[in-house]
Amino acid sequence: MKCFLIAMFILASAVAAEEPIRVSDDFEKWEWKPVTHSMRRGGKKRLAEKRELSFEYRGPLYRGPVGFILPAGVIVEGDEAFKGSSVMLTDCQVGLHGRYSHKIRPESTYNYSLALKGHGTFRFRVWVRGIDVKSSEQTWLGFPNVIEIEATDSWQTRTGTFELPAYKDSKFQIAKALSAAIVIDAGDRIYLDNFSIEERIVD
Amino acid sequence: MKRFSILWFLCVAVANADPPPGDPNQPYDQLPGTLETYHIPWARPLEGGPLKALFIVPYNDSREVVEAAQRIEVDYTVIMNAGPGGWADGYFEGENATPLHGIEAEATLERIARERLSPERNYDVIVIGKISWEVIPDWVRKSILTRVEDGAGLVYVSPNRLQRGLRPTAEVEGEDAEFSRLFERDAPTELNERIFGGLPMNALPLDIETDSAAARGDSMDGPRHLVERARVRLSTTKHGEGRILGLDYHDEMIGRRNSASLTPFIYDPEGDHDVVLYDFCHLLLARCLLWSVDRLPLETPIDTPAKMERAETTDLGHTIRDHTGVVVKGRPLAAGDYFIDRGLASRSLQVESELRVEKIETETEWVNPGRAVSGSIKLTRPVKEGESVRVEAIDTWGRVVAKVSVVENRFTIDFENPLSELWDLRAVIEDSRGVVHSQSTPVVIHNTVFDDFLFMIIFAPTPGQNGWKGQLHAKRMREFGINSTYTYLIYSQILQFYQNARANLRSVVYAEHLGELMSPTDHKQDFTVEREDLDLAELSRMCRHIADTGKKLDPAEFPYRMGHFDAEWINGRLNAYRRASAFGSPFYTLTGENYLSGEFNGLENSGFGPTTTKRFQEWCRKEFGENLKALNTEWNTRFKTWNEIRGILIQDAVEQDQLSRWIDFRYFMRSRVWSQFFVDWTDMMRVAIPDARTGRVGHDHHDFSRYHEQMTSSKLYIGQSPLPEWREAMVAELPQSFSGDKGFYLAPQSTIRWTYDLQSKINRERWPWLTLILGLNGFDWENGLAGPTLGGMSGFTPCYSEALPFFKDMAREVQAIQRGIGKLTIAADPHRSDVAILWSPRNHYLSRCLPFEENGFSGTFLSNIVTHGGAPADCLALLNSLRIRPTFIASEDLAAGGFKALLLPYNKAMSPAEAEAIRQFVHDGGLLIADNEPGSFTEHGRALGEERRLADLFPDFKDSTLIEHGAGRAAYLPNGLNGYVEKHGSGDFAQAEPVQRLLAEFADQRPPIELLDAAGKPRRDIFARVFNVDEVRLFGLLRAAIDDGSQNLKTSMILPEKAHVWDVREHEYLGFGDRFELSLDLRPRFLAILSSRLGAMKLEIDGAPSAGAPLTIRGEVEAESDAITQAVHFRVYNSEGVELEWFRRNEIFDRRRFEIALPLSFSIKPGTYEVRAEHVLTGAEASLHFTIER
Repeated sequence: MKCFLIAMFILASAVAAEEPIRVSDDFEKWEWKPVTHSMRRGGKKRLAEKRELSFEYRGPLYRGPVGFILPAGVIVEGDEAFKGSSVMLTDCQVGLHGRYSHKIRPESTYNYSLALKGHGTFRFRVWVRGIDVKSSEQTWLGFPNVIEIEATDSWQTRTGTFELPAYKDSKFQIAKALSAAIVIDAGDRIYLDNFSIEERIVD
Repeated sequence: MKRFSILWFLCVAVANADPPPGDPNQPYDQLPGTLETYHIPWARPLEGGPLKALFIVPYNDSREVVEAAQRIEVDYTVIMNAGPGGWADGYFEGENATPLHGIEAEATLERIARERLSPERNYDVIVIGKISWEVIPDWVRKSILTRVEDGAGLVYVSPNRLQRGLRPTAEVEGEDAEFSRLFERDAPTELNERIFGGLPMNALPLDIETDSAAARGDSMDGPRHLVERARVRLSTTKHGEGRILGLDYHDEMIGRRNSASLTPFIYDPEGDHDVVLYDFCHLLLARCLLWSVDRLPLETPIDTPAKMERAETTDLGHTIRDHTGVVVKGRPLAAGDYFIDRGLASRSLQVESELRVEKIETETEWVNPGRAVSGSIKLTRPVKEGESVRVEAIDTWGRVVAKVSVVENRFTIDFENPLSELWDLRAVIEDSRGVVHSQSTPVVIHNTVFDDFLFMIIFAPTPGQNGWKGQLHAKRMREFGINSTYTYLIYSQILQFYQNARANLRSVVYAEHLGELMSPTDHKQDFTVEREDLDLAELSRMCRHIADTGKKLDPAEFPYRMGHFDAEWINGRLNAYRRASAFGSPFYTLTGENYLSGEFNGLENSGFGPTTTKRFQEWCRKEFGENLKALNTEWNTRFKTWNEIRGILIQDAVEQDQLSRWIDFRYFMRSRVWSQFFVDWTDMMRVAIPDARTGRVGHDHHDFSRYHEQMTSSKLYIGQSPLPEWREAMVAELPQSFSGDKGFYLAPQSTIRWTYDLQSKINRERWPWLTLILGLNGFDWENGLAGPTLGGMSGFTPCYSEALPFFKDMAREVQAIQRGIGKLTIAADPHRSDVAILWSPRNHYLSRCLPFEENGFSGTFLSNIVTHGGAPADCLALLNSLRIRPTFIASEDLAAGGFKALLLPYNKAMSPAEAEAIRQFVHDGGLLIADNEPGSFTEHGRALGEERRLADLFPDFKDSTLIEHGAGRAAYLPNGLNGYVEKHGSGDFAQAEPVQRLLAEFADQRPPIELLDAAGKPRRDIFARVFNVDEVRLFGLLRAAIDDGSQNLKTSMILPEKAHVWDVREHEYLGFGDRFELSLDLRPRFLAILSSRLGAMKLEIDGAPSAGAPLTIRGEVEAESDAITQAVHFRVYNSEGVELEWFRRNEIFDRRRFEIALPLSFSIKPGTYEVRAEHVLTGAEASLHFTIER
């Protein structure tokens, strides 16, 4: 089943790959979803290590922003929010499976924009996988942070561009579509809103 | 596409078939071709020498190449592809899938195809078996056509351009000029006459079609897959020096039905595979092959008329076969249908007689063994002098088992000592020259006894369902212990029962697939929407009405409809049940993987229908003692009247802080609606089938404490992964406990994946014994060449010639169990200790609301719908590790008592009444052991804090405590039970010792039989069960596979008193005593412990054996006492050493002298026969011979 799911996921990406990639979140819509088995295991471990959970839960459900298939922070509303509702992230890695899965093409340049405040560093990290097409062996070639911004106490909006650094390897080719995630270290507390990445069209 | 290829590569690179190609357990490309089936060797030997032929056929139908080669002398080479709609891309499922898939499949098939299509390989003819031209790689097509250009023949069975897919039903759009030129040109009339002229076309369900414009869609008779006749059309063209012949059955749309790639797929509503007509289909293929290479001989027509009167056949000199394929020597021929064969041709002959049996009828369709059936016959005219009519009974083994005369066209037959579940009653008219005519009708012999070890095929080719493959699969599987098959009453396939009986397979009934998921879209609905249309309680009410009144429903009185479930549908099911009741079934499956809406996802959204809501209100009134204020306090609600009360979605409960309301609602739904529904359905079913046991297949989302008399049985989802007897023991123990060990249980096995149980020889040896030691009745075997795969999915080579090593290993153990120890164990009472575990299913919903607690009520990624993986499973594993088998009880069982120790592994939610009953139990002298903070919540799920229940018995949840209360004691062990399954799996058993000490000291609970290691310490790694049948104790032992079992072998077995012990598997007497030294590796052990010694056995015949009369055989076993329970396995052999399988049996006796009756048939051949008996426990053997005189 796992192989089929991955294949279907890749297939979907491949079909969609003809359009420029754009992922945008305003964190206005949230939904309650069942806490999964892996979340239960991971959550128990975190609590045993005296770390806080990176999501809000009540009973058997956790609350997550629509569009993310796994936990993606805690909702922030009212004065603390940027506009409407925002998300607070701490000690987590968000979007590697689902939201930003296979969204980064190695040859492309991306525009990004976001609203940010808090304490610590906002990072958007890419997982760079290489494949030896002859033997089908795979390896990680690197985990570059393509966006890295220090947060401030008050909201700031930022825009910019990023592209993947070059990886030259005679044996491994970079996969055609890579996954990425927002990464927030333990101890940091980042408030985020209106985060978007968009592939730039080159004529 | 290149990008896509790389992405696909990324996926499949990590996923290969298990076992890999070339492994002896991987059936792909293995075609020994040694198994012979019924056939006429039409062209064997072939004049001019064998044809060199290349067959390109789907893997799962490649047996048909061997079938073809039985009829025509051919030196064949085979390229097996995945299916009609895929080249290498076939079906596979999950990790460790057995079929080849992805890159491995492509690479393997590419290598094989290139090697077998290399220029060095020459073929006279190439045959394509219904594979779509569109999916055959371009280079393969070119290679084929090049050879045809050079002079090879090409026969394409059902040429088509179906789209790529696992079950293709549509063709590729647009025209293909080359395809049309090659395969769609009508054959000339002369060729049609030449090919078909040699066949008895009037007897075949084939209509010759000569019009190429005839549509490829559904025939005029209806959907292709239900058509009882096929159209056949020839197309032909010359391509270079070679001939191309299309043998088109117009059935490519139903190629998805499988089992026929070289012959037509024809749906026979009777389902029986007709070996003679199948043989003619291969004769047709053979004629096509020979024509394509210009070697079809010209024949002189067979000069017999199509019809003859019986008297005219007296001097007929041809070789004549009847419609069953048997050569008939006697003349004149009886009235009926025959075939006259000569060379590569055959002609049908219908023999008529003015004296015939018009009808034979019985007053009943079924009968109990030992009773009689009366009936009548109707002849075309009365018999005259010199003519007679009789009725005889033929059982499914082909034996004539009864004969009676007919008086005034009426007869009565006694159904004594039947050895099958069906007898055909045949009326036979004879005159001085022989049989004139006969006709038969079946009578079912009602058999509800399922007392032996079952090995069942499921979701596999079965008799009557899949043509030649259904018949052959069943036949071959039976040779390896298969004795039953899953039977689709769910589709009202009553005929399947008859087909199974004729194949000597018991039916295990798949009766329904009940639940709130009625279509695929139900799995993906919006679970935030309350489903008021789903009202299972109303369906329950309808079932209860039938159960209470015995009458069908009046749709006007019960207008409710849920999907297709309505009054008329339910009434229809009752009719089906009545028809099926003629046959027995060990249990009737009422649900499979079906659930309440949203339950699988943990987002339940049903329970809001009117009847359900009303019942919920009534239930709440009772729960809260008519105290609405108490309810509002628990739930954080503000209901003003009971009529306002209703359920709540989890999302709403979370947002409104009403989790207690949700907990109560969902517990009510699972226990009082879902489980109650199956209780009511069972009682309704019993109106038609009074003794029916019901059950389920699959997950455990039931309140088992409701299933004492209904839903006691199941196919359990246990096994196929490591240590199931430790990790998943709850899956069996819950239904066993609550049913009082009255249920019928099967475990699953499958060839879909290379599961843990299949992966090694020792695992294959262990699995069948594990199911027996767990107290199950057998297991099933899923799949068998049923779908379009490239390899895998089979315990045989695809030609069925050889069983694969892994299947042989497992079947060997099944057949050992079926030599009597299985039956004896199933008949025995499982030993249970005086220890109970309180299982309170309310806690399931509380536990879901505490996702990060130390240990849940259940676990795994399916925790919503399974029972294992949590604290109760840990508790059970711990007690099993102590070899003290507990019983699960519910809170309403507390008052009845009957046990000395009670464990509370997860009882956070607790009512005051429950707490009081527990307290009383301790006060009266019981031992209570708990973990996970019992009584810390109300029964509705509200945290009690300091006001928790049982604080007097468990004052402190931080440390271990032992409190005296009245005559008993209460022990709290924080994490004393939690996590035992995982620890046990890594060889850490220390956690069990405090529990063992408490049980021994304060409840006098010890294992019935102790097992000590070399250091004298009790072994904690042996799963052991004791089964008692009178004075015999059976002791099954299975060492945990947490290591390779080569160390720590020495084990001392300590019995409570001295006894005689046999190793049942080895048939070895271990001695007399109370201490035995064993060597325990991973092999399963089964011991018999008796108070007296058993010795030799002898047999003798009582009376003179005579055809048609029962033969009484008396036996005696040397024993110290007369009353001794024992079991004997019997087999009978003819003088050539061939077993007469119908006599095979296991008998259980309660005396040292015993007697059995072998019902000899009227048709038993003269000769000498041997009866062999083997004592099930000791292995003592005895035999005798008897002779049937001419």
